[in-house]
Amino acid sequence: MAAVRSGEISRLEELYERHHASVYRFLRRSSCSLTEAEDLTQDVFLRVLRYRSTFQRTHAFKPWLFQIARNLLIDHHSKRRFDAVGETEQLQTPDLGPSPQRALEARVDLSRVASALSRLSLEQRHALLLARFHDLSYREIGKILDCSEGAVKARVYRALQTLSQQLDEQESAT
Amino acid sequence: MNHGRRNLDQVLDLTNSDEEKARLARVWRDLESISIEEPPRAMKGEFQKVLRTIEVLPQRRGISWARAATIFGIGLLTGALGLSVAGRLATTASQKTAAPHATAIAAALPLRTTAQRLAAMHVVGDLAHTEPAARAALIHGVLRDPIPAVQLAAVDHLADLNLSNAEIEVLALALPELGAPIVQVMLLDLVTPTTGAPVAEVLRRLSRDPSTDTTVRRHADRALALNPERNDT
Repeated sequence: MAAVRSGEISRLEELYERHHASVYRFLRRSSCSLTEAEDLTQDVFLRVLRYRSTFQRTHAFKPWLFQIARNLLIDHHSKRRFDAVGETEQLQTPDLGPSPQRALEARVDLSRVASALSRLSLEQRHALLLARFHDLSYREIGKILDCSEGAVKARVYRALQTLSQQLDEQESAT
Repeated sequence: MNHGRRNLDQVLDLTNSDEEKARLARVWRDLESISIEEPPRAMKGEFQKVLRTIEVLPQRRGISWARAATIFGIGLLTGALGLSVAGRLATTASQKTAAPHATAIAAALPLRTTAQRLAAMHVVGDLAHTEPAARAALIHGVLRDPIPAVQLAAVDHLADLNLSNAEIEVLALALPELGAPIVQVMLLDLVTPTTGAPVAEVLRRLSRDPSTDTTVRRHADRALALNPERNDT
């Protein structure tokens, strides 16, 4: 990033290569459709280019990148309301192996978890996704979410509690 | 131990109940079921296409005071001439008539290499907060420099200024003529907060023109959506 900031704009391609999949997954898990995630991922890296002069050389790149992604996501969410059921349908199932029965169970399981996740507040959802999937410390997540390390931990804790409760309710309803 | 596992342990430390720890750990594990596909390959190609409009740049280095002074002089010259170009653009809305003048200016300038013009843009950019001619030189850089990297440097510096509506209009009117999609996208971000019929008209033209780059069209659409009053025709 330091090179990009210094004017070697072509080096942005390396950053894209290294981080675009991670940003894309964050956006997809945050209830973006395939097309939205593709468009927003590109926008994240265009913003990296646009705001490169604000990057602090002494800071880590990844939290800064996710901060941009999250801000874009908030802008995006404020413009559009997502249908929670529709979103979960667009998430793909994992590689389930040969058993159709297992595949069906896993699909149901995925749908439940993704549906519950999409009902969390944006604050809790982002804290949880960043803590769970992106190998970031609470301190780094705090920088992204603009809050203290303790507040991030509390959000993740409450998110897990809410999810647990929702999944239990779904289970007892079936 | 990676951060993920450590993050879970720190959250589990917030409760004393073994039952709750087990429940939360199970949810943490179940989240893995939300497996996400790899990003489509075409996505990377699209981004590379946009980036390809930028020439590989020499590293930006410190500029000596003597060189800076020379560049400043040339920058101001460019600025004064650029102002006339920009002014002509604004008043006649005829960018084509200004092009031969701009070409003549570029040919007359000793800053023929990309590295020199890029360095000049940064020096001029630092002066643009106080020197009107430097502001005009930046606008000229965006409108007339053939190299996207120099144009981008000028856009960067313009973004730090409080541009007048007239200045933004000049930049917006030039949008369809700019060759590099990445410069168009960056410039769209700059003109988006401004309302006004001429700017709206340019955005609509960009958004509807099938020959315009898809990313540029998307950004033009977004700019229109952010300013609904622009959509009233």
